[in-house]
Amino acid sequence: MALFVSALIIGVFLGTIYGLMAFGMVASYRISRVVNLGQAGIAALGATVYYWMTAQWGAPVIVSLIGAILVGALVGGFMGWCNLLMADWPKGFVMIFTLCVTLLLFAYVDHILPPTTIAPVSPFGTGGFNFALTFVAAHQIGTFAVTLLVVTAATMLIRYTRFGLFVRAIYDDPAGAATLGIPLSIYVIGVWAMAGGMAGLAGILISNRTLLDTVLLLFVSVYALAGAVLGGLESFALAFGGGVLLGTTEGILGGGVLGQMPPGTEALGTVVIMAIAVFYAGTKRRHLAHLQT
Amino acid sequence: MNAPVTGAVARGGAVSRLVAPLQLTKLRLSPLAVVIVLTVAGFFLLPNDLLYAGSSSVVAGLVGLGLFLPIAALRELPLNGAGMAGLAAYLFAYNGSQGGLGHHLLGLAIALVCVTGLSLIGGLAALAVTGLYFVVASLVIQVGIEKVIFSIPVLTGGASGRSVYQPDLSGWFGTQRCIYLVAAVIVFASMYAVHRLLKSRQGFHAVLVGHMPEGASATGLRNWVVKMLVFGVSGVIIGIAGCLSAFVNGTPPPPFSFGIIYSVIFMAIPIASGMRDLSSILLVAIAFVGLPITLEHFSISIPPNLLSGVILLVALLLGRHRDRIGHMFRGVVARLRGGAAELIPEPEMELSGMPVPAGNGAPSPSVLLSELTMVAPPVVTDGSRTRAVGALEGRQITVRFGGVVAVDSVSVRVAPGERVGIVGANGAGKTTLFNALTGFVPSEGTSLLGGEDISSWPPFIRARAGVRRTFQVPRLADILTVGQNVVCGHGRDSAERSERIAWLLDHFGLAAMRDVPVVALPFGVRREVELIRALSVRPQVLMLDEPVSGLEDEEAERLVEVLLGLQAKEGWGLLVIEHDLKFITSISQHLMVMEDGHLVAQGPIDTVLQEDEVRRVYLGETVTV
Repeated sequence: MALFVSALIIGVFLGTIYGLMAFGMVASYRISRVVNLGQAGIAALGATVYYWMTAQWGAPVIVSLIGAILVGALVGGFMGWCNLLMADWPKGFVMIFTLCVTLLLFAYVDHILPPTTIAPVSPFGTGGFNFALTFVAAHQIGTFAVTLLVVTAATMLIRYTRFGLFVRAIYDDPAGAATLGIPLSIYVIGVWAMAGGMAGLAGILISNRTLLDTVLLLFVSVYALAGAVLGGLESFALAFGGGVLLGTTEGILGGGVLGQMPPGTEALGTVVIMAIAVFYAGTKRRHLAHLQT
Repeated sequence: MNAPVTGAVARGGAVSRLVAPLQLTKLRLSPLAVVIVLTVAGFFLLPNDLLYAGSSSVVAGLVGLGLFLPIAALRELPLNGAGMAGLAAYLFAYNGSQGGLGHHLLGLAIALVCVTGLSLIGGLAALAVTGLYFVVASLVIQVGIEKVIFSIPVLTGGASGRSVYQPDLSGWFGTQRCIYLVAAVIVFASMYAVHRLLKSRQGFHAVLVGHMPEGASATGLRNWVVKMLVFGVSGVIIGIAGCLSAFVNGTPPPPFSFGIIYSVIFMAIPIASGMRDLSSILLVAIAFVGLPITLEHFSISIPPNLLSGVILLVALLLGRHRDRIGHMFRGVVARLRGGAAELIPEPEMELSGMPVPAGNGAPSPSVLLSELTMVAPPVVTDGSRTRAVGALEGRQITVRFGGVVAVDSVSVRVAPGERVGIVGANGAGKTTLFNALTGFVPSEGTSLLGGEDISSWPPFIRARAGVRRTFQVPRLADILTVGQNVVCGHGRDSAERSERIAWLLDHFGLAAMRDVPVVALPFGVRREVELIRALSVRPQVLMLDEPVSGLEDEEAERLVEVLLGLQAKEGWGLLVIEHDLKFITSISQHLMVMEDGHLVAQGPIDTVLQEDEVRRVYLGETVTV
């Protein structure tokens, strides 16, 4: 039981991080039709800035957190601007451009970080409590709460504000939105900046538990992409849900149910679940496309 | 009589304008030439300890080449290249480490079979899910290989790894030079094979299936077979690359080198190369893999991620702005020679066929209409044994989209030699009826061809049986040329077929456009290209969906003459949807009028057009009762 609860908590924690990144990916995908692999690089940069401000400058946690998110948003906005410059490029090329950004940010992060692998301090402290014979860290609870809060706020922003209305208009028909006088560039940059900020936050939250490892962050972003795709790449709620589902499944199967089996077996479950999910989502979507035809 | 001649000449002028930018300058920095020079120079000039960088580069290029196929032809992005290469490397080393040529060959065979099998599983996934869903499906395969298969120590050889045979040579032609030679020969041979494949009909089929699956089905292609073929070839190439990587290193690299990160990077190599030609893939791979190893050799320390990011970015920009850079280069050389830059961009694509030779922009020999009645093209069938002969008939065809009844119990019959037109306002259900008769949408009712029930036949079987069609928006592969598009389709590539296609191209005035990529053509000409493709084998029934929309009056008249002449010779049935009253009255014997999914009237055209209801529905006239 304790093993299961522990695996569940780790899974939900991972899932919320995937979900947060997936949310940002869906936002940038919907406004530009580009798969944003830059999320990994921004996550690494956000975590590094946060670590630098807290550990090297001694800045308060909240200031460091806001600073790191702002830096993430800035880089995200820059990528959005680049995306506007590449408007006539094939989308696959722009996707590779976002990968370039990630690699360059990884290089920068690896350059400025101390040679030892580091873990930034948790914004939620080191405390925790026991539940069902399992220690639940305050960081895990805090991550879950903050992620949920951010995703809810972003959803409300897009659904109920003038900003969101214009963003949705661009999602549906960029050319039509432009004819209505909506300044596309501002909104595209804005949405990419929002995605960047989310990636920065995700980087801070995950690095506390997994250490600041750039390769791992790319892995996380690829999983987030999988979550976003499983959610249909159109719905924010489903993308977040897809990420959470993926992480939770991975946690439960990897750490709990199949964790005691020979090496490799624990990943088998995740592979099977992912395969079923992608075929379900993919074929369902094709069915809908067929109806539209 | 002279009108078509004038049209052909006028079209010839248009052709010259289209073809002119495609003509090549004599001065050209070809990526292939650069790759060959680099590879040969590397073989003769590189010191032994740097040859490893060269060998590793060409191996990475080979993985990129394997991934290029599904990306370019099928427009699918596989994220499992590294995992498959790694699996091949471990399987090859597992057997090879037991020593002897036999074990190495066995290892190679097992590796190729397993990796090709995995690639085919990816192909199966591509049949069910496409686009980003396929990306995730391939990611699932990658994760499966990486986390499950690579965690089997017996396979990977644990920390010590397994050794693979390397020739033990010394002197100038040492071990590394020999390995470099073997790797380069294999990679160039593979590149040549892929090049040939892409220039063959099979290659055109793959592109058509990837870019316009409905268009491919309408020509009788079995799309899933073509897709599996592409994934199979891709798997073989990646398998060879994996085995080569073990051979080059003397042992397979550690599992990390075949992880998801490398899959992303391998996928980036062909894309960053610009997807224009195969040799550029090798150039990017040389920069991506060879440069870091070379810099390390000279103790120049650049963070690997920085180097990778910059190389990818530069490759991306070079690939994207290749024409501009080429033009600048030509301009500089021309200035150095004291002249002006000769010519402009060269939108040549690896998949778009050979560049147009100079002087080919001249109009084709004009054809008099009288020839049409005297000379007919060879009658070519697609060789299907299931061919039925006779009328195409739809009985009580009903098509529903959810709660909407798009076609409601409509019956239609086109006998051999008969010409039937369908008219009606937008949304009347005409195209949906076409889709039902050709099997592109599920329908109720019965479809018959020559009395045989074809209701359960998929579109490609109906096409093979002779139900040929065009679409409202032409379903052509844009990156292929006119000539490559029209040869696509089921059936053998015979001399008669080539002759028939040449005849059709000539009579539609498109002979001079044969080597022009379809993407450069206006909409009306695309329609004609699609029509030629449909007629490239003799149909039983030809179904045309708005064939003259986008055509000039002159071109429409020519189309009527060619169609009527050919139909008179070959005797197939013709079913046409069209809004153009002049066209429909000039080509149809019988007319069907549809409104809101129902058949309002049908019969001989003169009679039908006199009916009040038809005049109301189709001509918009107010009928006084």
